[in-house]
Amino acid sequence: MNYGPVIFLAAFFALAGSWFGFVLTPQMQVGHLQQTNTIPAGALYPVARPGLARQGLDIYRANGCAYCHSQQVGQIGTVCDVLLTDAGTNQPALLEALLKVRQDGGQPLSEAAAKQLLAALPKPVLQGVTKEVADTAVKALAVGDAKPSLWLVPVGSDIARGWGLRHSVAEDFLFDDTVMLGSQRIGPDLANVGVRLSDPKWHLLHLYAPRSLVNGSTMPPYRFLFEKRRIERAPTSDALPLPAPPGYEIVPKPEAKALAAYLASLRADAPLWEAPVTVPASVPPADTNAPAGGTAITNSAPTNPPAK
Amino acid sequence: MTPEANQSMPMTPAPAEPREEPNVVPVWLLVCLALLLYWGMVYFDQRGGWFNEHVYIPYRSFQELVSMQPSNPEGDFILQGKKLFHDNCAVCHMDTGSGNPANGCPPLVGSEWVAAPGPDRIIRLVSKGLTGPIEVGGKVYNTGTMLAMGDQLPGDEKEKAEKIAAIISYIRTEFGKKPGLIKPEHVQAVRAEIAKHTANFTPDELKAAPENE
Amino acid sequence: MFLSAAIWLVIASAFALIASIKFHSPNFLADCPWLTYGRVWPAYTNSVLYGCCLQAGLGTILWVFTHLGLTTLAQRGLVTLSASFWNLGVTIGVLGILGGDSTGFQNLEMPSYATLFLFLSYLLIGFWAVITFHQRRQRALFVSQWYLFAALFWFAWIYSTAQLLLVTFPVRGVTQSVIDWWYSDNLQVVWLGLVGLGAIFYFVPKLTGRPLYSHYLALFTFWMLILFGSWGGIPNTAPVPAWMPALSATSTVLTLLPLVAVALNVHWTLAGDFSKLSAFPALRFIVFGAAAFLLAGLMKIGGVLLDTNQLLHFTWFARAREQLYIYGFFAMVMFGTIYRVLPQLTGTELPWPKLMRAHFWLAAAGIVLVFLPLTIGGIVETFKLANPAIDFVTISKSTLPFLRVSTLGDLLIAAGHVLFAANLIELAHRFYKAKMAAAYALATADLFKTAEVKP
Repeated sequence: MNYGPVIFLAAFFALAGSWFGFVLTPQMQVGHLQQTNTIPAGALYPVARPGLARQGLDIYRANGCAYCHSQQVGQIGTVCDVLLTDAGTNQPALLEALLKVRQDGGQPLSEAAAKQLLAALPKPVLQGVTKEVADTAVKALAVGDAKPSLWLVPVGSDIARGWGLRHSVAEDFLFDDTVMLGSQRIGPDLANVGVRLSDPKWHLLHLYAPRSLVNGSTMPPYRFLFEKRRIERAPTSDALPLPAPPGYEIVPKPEAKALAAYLASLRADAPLWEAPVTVPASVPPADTNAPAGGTAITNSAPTNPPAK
Repeated sequence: MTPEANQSMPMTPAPAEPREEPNVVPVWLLVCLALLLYWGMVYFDQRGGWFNEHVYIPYRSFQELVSMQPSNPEGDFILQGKKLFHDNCAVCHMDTGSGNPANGCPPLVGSEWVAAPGPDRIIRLVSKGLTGPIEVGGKVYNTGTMLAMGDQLPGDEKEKAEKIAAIISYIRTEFGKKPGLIKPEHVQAVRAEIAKHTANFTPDELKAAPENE
Repeated sequence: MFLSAAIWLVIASAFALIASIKFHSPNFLADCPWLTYGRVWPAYTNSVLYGCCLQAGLGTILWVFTHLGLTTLAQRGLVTLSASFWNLGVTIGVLGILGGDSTGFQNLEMPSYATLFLFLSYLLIGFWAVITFHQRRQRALFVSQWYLFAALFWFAWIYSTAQLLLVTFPVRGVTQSVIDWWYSDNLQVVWLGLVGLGAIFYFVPKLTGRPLYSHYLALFTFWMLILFGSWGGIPNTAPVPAWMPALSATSTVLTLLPLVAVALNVHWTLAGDFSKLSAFPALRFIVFGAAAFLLAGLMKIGGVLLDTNQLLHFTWFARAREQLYIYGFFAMVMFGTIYRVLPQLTGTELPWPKLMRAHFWLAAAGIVLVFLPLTIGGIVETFKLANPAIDFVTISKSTLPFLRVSTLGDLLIAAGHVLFAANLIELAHRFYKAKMAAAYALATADLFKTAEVKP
């Protein structure tokens, strides 16, 4: 029996199966994504990176930064907190409601502690519960103009470490033409480094001399992205605040500036339909670089989810 | 050429090509295959989100993701009003709010009654109905009578008030371009005032009542 | 082809050594942009995979086809020319990566101006391999031929798809990452697995003189490997819909079956007869490779099932497994193959057999010293990363002792490669010397004969 074609067909169908599953279907599901809206503000997301940051992505790729740094934030669950910002006008009813809510939520509270809590608002009054429990609690606490709100809090070790607010989704990488997800964490995850370290000057200094900013860092210095220049008339504003031989200054090359701009633009914390999270007011919203009057193009999951 | 030094490994004669025996695959291995396939199906069922493109780890199903969305009480209330409008009012006033002039149903779009500064007139109108010619948007409609749709809604007084509040919130937001929620308590208060009024209102009676409380 | 594989290996190990040293002394060679870690590491992986593994694999395919088919290689000249093109392609590619033109996709970093050479030469070599297979005189098939024939087709498809969809007409967003993971996993798990297992199933019965335990078990392994091995690779932190990591995880666990099947087959074929291991040192490499295949496969399954914190695949554990697989399994099997095949191919004996034994021990010790500390370090790192109170820099410092030991392992491996290359270069040298001498003798025989005849 001529087995040659049999083997070929076997290999063909096996590979066709996985091609269909991991090449074609992702292209159909994720490859045609458009910009979406944040929930609930309805702002356009994501916005394309400004030009310098876009060039920085190329430098990132060319120098293989993704071999030490990942850009994926993980999440293992979501819990809800109930925050009370205002005690309202009906304190006794609120106190009673609070005690009941805490009892039902499995975190009973003494009356004295509850009074203390109400005196020190705004404070979370219920933490780490499921959405159903939190929804009931919010309804129960809305007595007499009190202002309870429900906060969605993602849970995970990356989130606990401050590396992000929520897990990364496909929309976060929509405009990256080389998606640099990385596969190893020899250095910290960079998905939200633009939130933690938004000053490009920090990044420039870190690239030139990592150990001057992070004690014990194993990151190699990228001195070839900078140049030692003779001071002409006066030191330039770009110069790094590092000791240099007299009459010289250390100035970043355009590649370094682009890379620093790219790093400062990295953020993935906008609340989306696929990644619900309540963003604290202290976190500034992502810079809207979109042209004024742009129409929002949504994917198929607007605020009101499709019936499925 | 001189022969190679004696330290090299003596060339063993090339062994024959390999043979193979047709022993069968052990049965327990096939049982393992079946068990692992079963496990795989259960695992995927739990975590795969059934190929839904919106479900990302850690969510396990589309339903879970839907339930996790931040609740939007305003939007939900207006949606409720929209549904009630469709069920009760759209028969005459149409889903688009354009009314049916042939049957004497005035439009709601562009109606100064709907877009009035306060909702009280509309609350009375919806609760008790209307008789008589009414001028809406410059035109006079006098061939129709509106039944006391509000009173006829199912449920007790509290539920009626909530439903009326939802409907009026919807029509003011959608047709009157005056967004905002009407509170059920407010509707209840107005209805308490007019509880004794059994007949339909006339436009003059409505105009006599204060526009906003 | 085997010779170039050896040379690439030496170059690759130089890169690996540089990369490894940079971890504990970051200032090492820091000022040269061509040698920054981010460029040296992909240069290393690409030289190992494309310069060494693929070439050695193709050589194995050609050897096994000709021997099991009892035929000669079709169009030898063309194939040799293609191999040179391959080498040219890899050289240009690696230099391109060092110069900063990396595509950024794992295992596919070579810039497009190099990959064209690679793909064309692969097509040529593959095509003539298929012709050789077709022209075989021994029509009955041995299992190895199943594996190797499928592998020929496999690489052509995955490589062309990946190049087209990632480099030539890039798809949008994270689809790129999914296709990259698909390609990377198919290359490592399926292609290297098919060729490596094909070689194991050929040489273990051949060199021990015992028949392969079960033809059907080997076919079972083949099917399970191509069906389940091709779906792995997507980590659970990936920003893709949840069904992709779920499918990946499921199929990775299902690869337990081909692992077990291979273990059974090899174990029952050897049937405790380890005497042949000393008679044929090449066999040691191959059996070591089989053991490493098992261990690396188990590590992958464990890594998928136990990664509840979504951290393990980012640590040194994943890197250790990858090294164990490419090195401990595939490279060792290729060493055994080359040590066996090249002397037979050239008709010349291996110049320094003691060096071959030394190479085995160096390589074995080196691999253990690389993968063991990195595995332990990776697991420790996972536990520490899960605790947000521990500073990242502290964690990174705590992995340094493990890295230092692994650098030692890299050094041993590199030394082994030098011995390997030296042996092969000397063998080639003697082969060509003998050939030239024979040609010279042939040419001058007439001269002396005529001189003798004349009185």
